[in-house]
Amino acid sequence: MNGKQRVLAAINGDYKDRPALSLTLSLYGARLIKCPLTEYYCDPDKYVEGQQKSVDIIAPDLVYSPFALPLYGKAFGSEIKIYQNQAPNLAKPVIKKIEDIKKLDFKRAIESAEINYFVESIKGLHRALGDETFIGAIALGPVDLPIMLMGIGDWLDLVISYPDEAASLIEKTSDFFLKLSELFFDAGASAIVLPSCFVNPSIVTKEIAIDLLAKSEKAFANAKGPLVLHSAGAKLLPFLNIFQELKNVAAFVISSDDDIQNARHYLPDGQVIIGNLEGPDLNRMEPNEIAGETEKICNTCDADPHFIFGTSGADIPYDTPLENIRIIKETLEMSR
Amino acid sequence: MEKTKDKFFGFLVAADKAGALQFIDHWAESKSYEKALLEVVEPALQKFGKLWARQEDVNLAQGYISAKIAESVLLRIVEERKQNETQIKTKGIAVVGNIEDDYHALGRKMVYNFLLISGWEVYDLGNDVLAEEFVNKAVDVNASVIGASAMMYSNAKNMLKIRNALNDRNLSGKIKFAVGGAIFNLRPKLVEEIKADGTAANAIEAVELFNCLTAELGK
Repeated sequence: MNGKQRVLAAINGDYKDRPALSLTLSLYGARLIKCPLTEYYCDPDKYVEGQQKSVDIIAPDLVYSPFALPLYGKAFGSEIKIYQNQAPNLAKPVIKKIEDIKKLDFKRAIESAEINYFVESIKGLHRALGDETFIGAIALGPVDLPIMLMGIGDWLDLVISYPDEAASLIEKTSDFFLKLSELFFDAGASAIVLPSCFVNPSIVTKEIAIDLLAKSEKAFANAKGPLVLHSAGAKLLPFLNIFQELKNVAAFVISSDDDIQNARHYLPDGQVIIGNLEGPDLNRMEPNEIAGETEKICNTCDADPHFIFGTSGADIPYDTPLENIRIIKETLEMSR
Repeated sequence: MEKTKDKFFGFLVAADKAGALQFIDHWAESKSYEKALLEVVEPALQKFGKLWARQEDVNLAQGYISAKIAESVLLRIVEERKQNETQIKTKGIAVVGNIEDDYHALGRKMVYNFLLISGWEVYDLGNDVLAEEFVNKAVDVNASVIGASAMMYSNAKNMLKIRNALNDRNLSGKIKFAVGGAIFNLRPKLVEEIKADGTAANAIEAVELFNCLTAELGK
């Protein structure tokens, strides 16, 4: 079986030779090809080269488009910081006061160099790896994009103190998301992966979550392909019962703090569960520890046909020894 | 009185800023905002801080709104003090900021608000602040505590430069060094690694930390 077949088998609940493997190697690809991040996060060819290398060396079954969310902010005029060895960060949001929301230029953003970088990266991944590998295109959803436009504090304030303005912005970001996801699917994405940076139990109350998801419902309902909701490191479990009702969501990347069996309890209809090894911790774990964790998770999910083993959270850190990643694949191979 | 505190605490848990302020405005009408702070707001915040430290169903929205409520109550107190020409002795002077390369401002802004309402004189240096800038400002304003914040491990490592800068200028016994941010809750040993004097589980508990550190200096 190839990687794509394994992931599709997990979606359909069919037989697979071993659990499919999802590793968040977006950043790590730059290390594998020794590419400076200033280049890697703006040149789609370099990004594809990095991911190709990760497939050659580690062979995950699922690869991701750039996990560089602040670039979405940059597409609208936010300033970002590029580091030597970590994914970019938001430095100065474009929205400084409520009135600035009206100035957001969604048309210009969709035609920006940053969105073009994402689209071309997906096209390149599709050309290079699409026959054999499942391609997850990372996109910011309607209620998460505002974080990159105004910062999480001001977005929280807007949601709580100015709900009408927040609703009006979500209406626009929902349309933006639909255009973006169409571009990504046309470019060859197998699924769109939405990191749920804002709607999670460590950030908002359940009432706020329900309200925000209702306001962004059309973005989910009208998506032209499968969506994957990514925990972005926070626990998903307390909100899974509301997330599982969203249209077109085929899979969830849960947190390493979520109990997998409990998660399955909330997802009885065969939605795929992806995770549950903490990716950002891999640089400070020993290979035998990683193997032990991998084995434990695989044993727990042995009977679950809709499970994909993978790293939870954000990127696997740049300084992670390669043997720490390879051991995951080796352990998985042994669990055949 | 317990009922009053519980009711206000309920507004914090519900992240209901409008309700909380309406309640305090009404309560202060017959007493004062100064009293409201001491008898209602502070005890409720402390209770909320303990809940948050135990991570019991408390989220950022509730913490953030609590900080905004604190900020609004503080503005009312400042106005009241102006009218009454009251002079208040500050609890201490602090300098806060996000360390070099860190841009996650929310926690730091919350600490700033909670310190202000607790009677601290606070200087907020913003994001991406170099160690030297922290120390220079602390010396300029005669601060007793430097509070540095970071969200991720890679940036938190830059905080060691603050300790080195304090040591280089023989200031380590004179200015205390507090650290905070999500990474310190995940990796408590990091506090020792970067040779800080202490950390707090959340923005509300940071006030108690700053109070204790200042007491250690005998100020």
